[in-house]
Amino acid sequence: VRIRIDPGRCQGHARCFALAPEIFAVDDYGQASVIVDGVPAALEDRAELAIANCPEYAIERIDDEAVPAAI
Amino acid sequence: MPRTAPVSDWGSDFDVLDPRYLADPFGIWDDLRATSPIAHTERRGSTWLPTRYEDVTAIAHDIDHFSSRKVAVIPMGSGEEGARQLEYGLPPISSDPPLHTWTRRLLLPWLFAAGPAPAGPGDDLLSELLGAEVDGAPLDDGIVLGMAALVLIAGVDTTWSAIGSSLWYLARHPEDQKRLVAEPELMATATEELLRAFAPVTMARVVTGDIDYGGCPMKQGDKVLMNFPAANRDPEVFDRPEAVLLDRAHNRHVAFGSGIHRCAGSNLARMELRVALEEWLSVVPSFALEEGREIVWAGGQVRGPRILPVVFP
Repeated sequence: VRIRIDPGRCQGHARCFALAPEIFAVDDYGQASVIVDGVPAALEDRAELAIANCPEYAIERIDDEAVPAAI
Repeated sequence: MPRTAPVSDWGSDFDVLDPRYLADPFGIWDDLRATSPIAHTERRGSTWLPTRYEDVTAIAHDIDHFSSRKVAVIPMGSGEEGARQLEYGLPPISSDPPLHTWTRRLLLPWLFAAGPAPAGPGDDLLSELLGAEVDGAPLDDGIVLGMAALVLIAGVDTTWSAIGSSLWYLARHPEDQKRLVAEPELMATATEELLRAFAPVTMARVVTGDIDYGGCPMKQGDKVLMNFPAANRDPEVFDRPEAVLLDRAHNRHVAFGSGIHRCAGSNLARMELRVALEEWLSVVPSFALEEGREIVWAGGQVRGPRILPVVFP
């Protein structure tokens, strides 16, 4: 599964970083970013937790089919 | 605290200082959410009270129609000495963009858990504010004073209220005391759940121009109370919202607000609550409310137990 942060929605609550530091990083302002290129299967539960705990609904799941073949 | 007339209709004449509301607002919010999801009152000026998660978060994000220039739930007197001195209020909490944007950006790194550690004398927030320049000019003294006052007060009654409400809950639930002592790994979800269930803070917004919101004819200058504590108990978003589930895994609560005014100290506050509960339970692993003693609740802007008599072996 692939995920991304919508930077326009993220308000720096940093819940994703607290729940899954293997997947997310935050800067000095709390703005989150995804640091893995695709979530490893072993971390998918963690990614789901982060998605379900983001108060801004800022973490999006990207369907693999939607990713252009060139990427 | 001013005495107020009893409330008979919470949907059209609510009063956040009513003794029943101070002692137990949860049932009132549940009734309002089902019957009058954006309540209204003329007490202390025309004021609206949303109780649904969707409405509270939507209004928090609609900064064009709902300004943070006035965030006090209970208005202060116009001749207040403090209000005269703080001509810019308490930025960024009492401001809109653009003032909000750059004042918040100056504060955030100092409040984030992974933020800078002071390297020595002069390496601190106040020194940075006094030396900072915005658009090539130093900050106005009034802005520095307002930001310093905000940092001074924002983490005081908010934090003791969250800690106090959590202890109030645990005092009445010995099974959860035992569980937290036996399973300390639950502390991460438990602190989030206690913050959800007993979110202490309500901020206000002021309506910038006449607008019909959710069927409510809001007028310019009306106040809206950002009822994050009630949003956190909306059954549309939370399963069994009335229950405190220490292992609740999905918890999109908004105890620290939502949108651009998200509490800048949220992660410091989380750490304070967790450490306070851990240290309390390590010394007082078993405790209960003292029978026959009254609990006194503070309310309005920040709700928490001001007096909470407990007993322990």
